[in-house]
This record gives sequence, C-alpha cells and structure tokens, in this order.
Amino acid sequence: MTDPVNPLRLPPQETDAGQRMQQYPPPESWDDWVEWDQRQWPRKVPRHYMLVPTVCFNCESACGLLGWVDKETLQVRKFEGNPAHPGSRGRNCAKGPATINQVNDPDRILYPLKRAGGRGEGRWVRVSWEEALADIGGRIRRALQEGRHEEVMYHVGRPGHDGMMEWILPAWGLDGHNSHTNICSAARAPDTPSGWGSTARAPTTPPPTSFS
Amino acid sequence: MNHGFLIDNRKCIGCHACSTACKSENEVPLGVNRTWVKYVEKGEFPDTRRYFQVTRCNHCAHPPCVPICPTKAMYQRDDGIVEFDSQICIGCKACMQACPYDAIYIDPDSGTAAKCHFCAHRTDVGLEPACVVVCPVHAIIAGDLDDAGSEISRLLATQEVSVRKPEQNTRPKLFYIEAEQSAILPMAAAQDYGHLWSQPPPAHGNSGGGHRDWRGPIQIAPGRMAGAMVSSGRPAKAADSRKSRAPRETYNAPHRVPWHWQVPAYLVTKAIGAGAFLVAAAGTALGLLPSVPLFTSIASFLALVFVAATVGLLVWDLDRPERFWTILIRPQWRSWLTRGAVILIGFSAVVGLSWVLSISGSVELAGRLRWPGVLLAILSAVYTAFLFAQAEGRDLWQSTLLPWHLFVQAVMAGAATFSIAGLFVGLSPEATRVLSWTLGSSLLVNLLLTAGGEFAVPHASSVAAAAARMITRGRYAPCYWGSLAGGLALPLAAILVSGGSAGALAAAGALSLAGLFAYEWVFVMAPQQIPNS
Repeated sequence: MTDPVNPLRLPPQETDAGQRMQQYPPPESWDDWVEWDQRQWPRKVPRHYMLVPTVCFNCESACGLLGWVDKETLQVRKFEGNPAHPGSRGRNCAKGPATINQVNDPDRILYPLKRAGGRGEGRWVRVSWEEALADIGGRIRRALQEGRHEEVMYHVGRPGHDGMMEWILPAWGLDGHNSHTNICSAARAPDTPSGWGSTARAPTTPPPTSFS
Repeated sequence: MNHGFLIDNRKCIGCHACSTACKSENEVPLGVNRTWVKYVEKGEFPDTRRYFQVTRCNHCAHPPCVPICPTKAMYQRDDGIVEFDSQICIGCKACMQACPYDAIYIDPDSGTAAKCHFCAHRTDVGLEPACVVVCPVHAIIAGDLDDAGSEISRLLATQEVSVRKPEQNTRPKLFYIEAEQSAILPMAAAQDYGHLWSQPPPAHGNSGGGHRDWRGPIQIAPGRMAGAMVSSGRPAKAADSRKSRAPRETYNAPHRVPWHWQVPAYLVTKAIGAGAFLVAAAGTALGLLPSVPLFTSIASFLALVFVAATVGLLVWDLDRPERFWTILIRPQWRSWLTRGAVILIGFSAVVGLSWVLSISGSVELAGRLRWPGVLLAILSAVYTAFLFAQAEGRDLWQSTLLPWHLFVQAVMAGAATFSIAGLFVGLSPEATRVLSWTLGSSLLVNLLLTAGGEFAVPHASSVAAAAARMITRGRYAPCYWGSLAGGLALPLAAILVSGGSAGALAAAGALSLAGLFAYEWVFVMAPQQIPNS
C-alpha cells in the first residue's frame, strides 16, 4: 500500500531536518530544482534542473541514480544517487557518478555502424536501424535455416533484459549466450554463499548505517 | 556557522566514490584532484593491511593559502569554508606553496588555482557536498562545528580524532577517526613502491614543454621514519622497499612542481638590479666610489633594466599573465607578493627617474634620489624572504637568515655586475679596490651564511630536513656544491690571489652570478619536491 505521506518510501534524511544540510533535494522540487551554476561559481547564477530517476548500469547491483537534466539544454549535467531506490537508498560507488563519462564519451556509439573494410581496419559506415536489423536478422535466419546454429552467438556486456533472451535463444535452438556473467558473476555465484551465506545482491543489502 | 569534515576511517572502504562524485560535481579535469583516497600498505602476507585516507583541503581555521594570495582570489567565507574565485586568480601558484597539505592545484583548462571548496554552491542551497552524499558507507560527515547537535559535533565530542600536520598551526577542520600514522604523515611510507591501478608520473618527467614537470617520488629508505614504524632497524636501500615490510604508498594523487626556472632567475635579476643601485648609490654617497657615469647614470640604467627583467620573469611565471594587473586593481595587502609588486614598481620608478635626471644633467636632483633608492633597493632585495616565509608548505624557505642572505646576495650581485662592466668601461684603481673588497667580503659572508648557516643548523621540521638532505646529499647536491665551490669559493680565491687585476675581478663577478643562479635554482626547486600529502 502506498504511504500517502511518503509515497516514494524515502529513507529518513540522515542529517536532521531544520537548518542542517540535506542529502538530496526534496522530491516535490525534482521537476524544477534550482542550483547555482558550478562553472560560474562563486558568481551566483541559477540553473534549473529536472531530476530524472534512472538506474546505474555499471554492474548488476543496478543502484538508483538521479539524472540531473539541465532544463535549458536538456543535457545530463551529472548523476547522483536516487534516495527512493530500495537497494542503494541514494548511495553509490565510484561507478555511479562516473556514469556521466559514458554519456559524454566522445567514442560513444550513437547509431548502428557497419564494418566497411577488412576486420581490424577500423573503417565503419553509418547505417539505419532498418538496414542493421534486416542484415543481422537475415543472416541469423539463413544460418538457422541452413543448420549452422553454432555460428550464431549472442554477446552482451550485462544481460539487462530480465531473462528475455533466455526464452528466445532456446526457441532458436541455440546455446550461444555470452555475457559479463560468464567470467565475473558466475564465479561469484558458487563462492559468495560459502563465505557470506547469501548471494548478497543489492536489493537485500542493508542500508548504510548512521550515527544519528 | 563553521563548516568542517570528519572522515571515519573505521568505515571507509577506499572505493573512490567521493573522488569521482567530486570530479563530476565540480567538473574537475583529468590529472588533477580536489579529493582523493591515499592508500598505504603495511606488513607482509598474511600479516598485512591496506589503509585508506580520504585526502583533501582541510578548510583550515588559519588557512595559509589566504594571506599569501595577492588578489583575494583565495578567501575564507564567514561559514568557515576556504573558497576560491577562478575569475580573479592570476595563476601565481603562491597558494600551492603556502598549503602544507598539497590540497591546491592549477586547473589545466583555466590556468587558475582550484581545490575542494566544500561544494559551497551546494551548501548554499542546503545540500551536503557531493562526496558526502555519494559515500556508500557514510564515512564522510560534513556539518556545522558550531552546532552542538550536529552529527559531526556529536562525533567530535565522543571520538578520538586526528588532523594532518597539527604542528603547522593551521588548525585543520578536517578530522580523522582512526587515522593511520603511516598515511597521515606524508613521508612515513616509501613512495617508490609503485601504485595500484595507476602509474605514478616519472620522477623528472615532463608533459608538454618542460614547464609542468611532476614532482617525483622521493626516495625514503626504510630504516629512517618508515623503518621505525615497523621497528625494523635494518637499513635498506630505497629500491628494496618492494621486499620490505615497511609502510609503502600504493596510491596517491600526483602533484606538479608549481614554480620553475623563472623564479630562481627572478631572484638573480632582482639581486643584480637592487645590488647595482645599492652598491653604486651607497658607494658614491659615502665617497668610496667616484661619481663617474658607471656609478651614477649607468648604475641607474642597469638597475632599471634588471628590475624590468625581474617583473617580466614574474609575469612569465604566471599561468594567467594577462591578469597581472589584478594585483594592482584588487590588492590583498597581507600578501608579500602584492607588497613586493609595489616595492618593485616603486624601485623602478625611482631608478628610472634617477637615470633620466642623471643623463639630462640634473645631477643634483638625481643625487637626492640616492637614499630613497637605496631603501627601495634593500626592500626589493629582501622582501622575497617574507614571501617565502608565507609559503608554509615549504619549511626550508622559512629561514630567519633569509632576509640577511638575500641582502648579501644583492650586494654580491651588484659588485659582480660592476666588476664585469669594468672590463668595458675601465675602472680607476681606487674603484677596483673598493669593488674587490665589496665582492670579496660579500662572497665570504654569503659562504658563511649558506654553508655555515642555513645548511648547518638542524632543521626543526621533517619537511625542511628532507629538503636540506635532498640539497646537500640528494638530487640537487651537484648543483649545490657546485654553487658553493664555483660560485663562492673560487671567485673569492681569484680575488685574493689576483691582486687587483681587472680581468680576474670580472671573472670572479661572472662566476659569482652563475653560482648565484645555481644556488637559487636548488633553493627554489628542492623544497617543492618534498611531498605534503
């Protein structure tokens, strides 16, 4: 049941209310939070942000983030913790705030690219999503029709699709699912319970302790 | 309202979340850090441990970076935050020399000083600093030290805490619970062990034009401070620290040397400019030197040229030279950089006027400027001692002998300049005799002050002692001993044995000026190599 007073079920602010500093802007101001522009500081130039909840994708813990979107430029200025996230409760590791580097990475791939030269030549041409999907889909289809199932492999950094590919790949008769899990999380799965008694995934991680 | 930080080392897991949150919040460029996590490891497997130390500006109650700033770009807010204004900073890097904690860096994009500013742009809208909010273990506590009910005040009231270098009397407001001594003392851990996940910059490496070289790892042999920590009496070579159980630094932020050759060169041109006028004006006024053009108009002209070169070198060393005028537009009068700029401008005005008057025939008027000029020459020569005294991050520069040393160096440089000029102008036997005596006695006093004074007395702080050791026995030893032998002893011997030959006097002058630069190079550079974090 939704709590009418605290619909986001936010953890209590660790610093007390009143004049003391807050960990995060009050949620009712998330649509239009005004903060001084860091670039022009100590000149006090206001900037308006909308705080958009999102999820850190740098490991499978999937901690909560708030994207601070500049309302003027619509660019993400920074990421901070999302206090309403049930697992991370507004806290993050080094990878959380560093997510801004991925968003602004000059080498970030923003649209489908198709290899133009030989392997390793590093030449690519931009293609449309239609062309990319038709090309990949057509080649998978031909491989399956011609019985070359072992030539199809699905590789992804982090399987963030909630098991969907675990239905699709068996339906195609494939055993070709590769991801970060093979080399990292798979090692943790048998090991962590022996040491810790559970797999200690983020949603069951206790909140940070406090002296208050 | 009095803001402070508390780092709870019982909780810190060394994850660097604070470092990256700060980078993102304050858009800190690559290669520089406002906060970082120093790692120190001790012991040998299985009796080993890694210690973490979140390291940043201490927001000192008595911040030495503030009084040294010539333009009020570094200042202390009413709420205790030590703040900076990059739009006023001229990039003189004096604050970096004043900070005993390595907290300040030059932003490579703007060329201005920057550091942790307590996320003042956030605290002013009621938010905690970015590092505090992100910390997954709540190891960083920020709050009001004046508010007895704040979390930080309650922890400070009940827990034992430490600060970095309390002996500097800066009264840091960043406190550590369970500080590890081998991490909190900058030179307690060996620095040549190699870093985890990162490569420290090469010791004398340059990245771009040789202007911004990195401070090296300094070689600290286990057996001194480091060895004492593990009660290992066996002295070992620094290169052996990989095999040793002594504490070793396995991560620390790299730091650049702030001042380069322009500063020792400025000390030499300033000594020549001030000394030339001083020797000539005092010598002619006292009747020791004849009132020939060399000691009147030419002396004023030489002083003018070398003071102009001095100012030029000072501006050259700024990272924002076009903002030089800010010193005059918004002076911060407690800074000896500001006072020095005014002294140099005043001295240039007097020697310039003196030169114009003496070449236009107003010898009487020019003569009246002699004693004001002598006073300004002495001030120009010695004020740097008070600037160096404000540089509280470089303990070797805090020498009570330094004003006297700079004065003697100016007399020596002035006499040396006329000794060389004598080759072209021709000196009377009387002038040669006076110059020989002046140069010889200043060389002797300089030798005593250097070898018998500044480097003979035991140094009170480990920072000063490490710099002195680096000068007398380490990386700068060839230059230091070369300056003593070739720049002081050899010219002194040349004067004594030559019996008043103009050629020998000129050679002695040239040697003493070259030696002066070598000595100033050592004296300026070595203390900057000593780690403060």
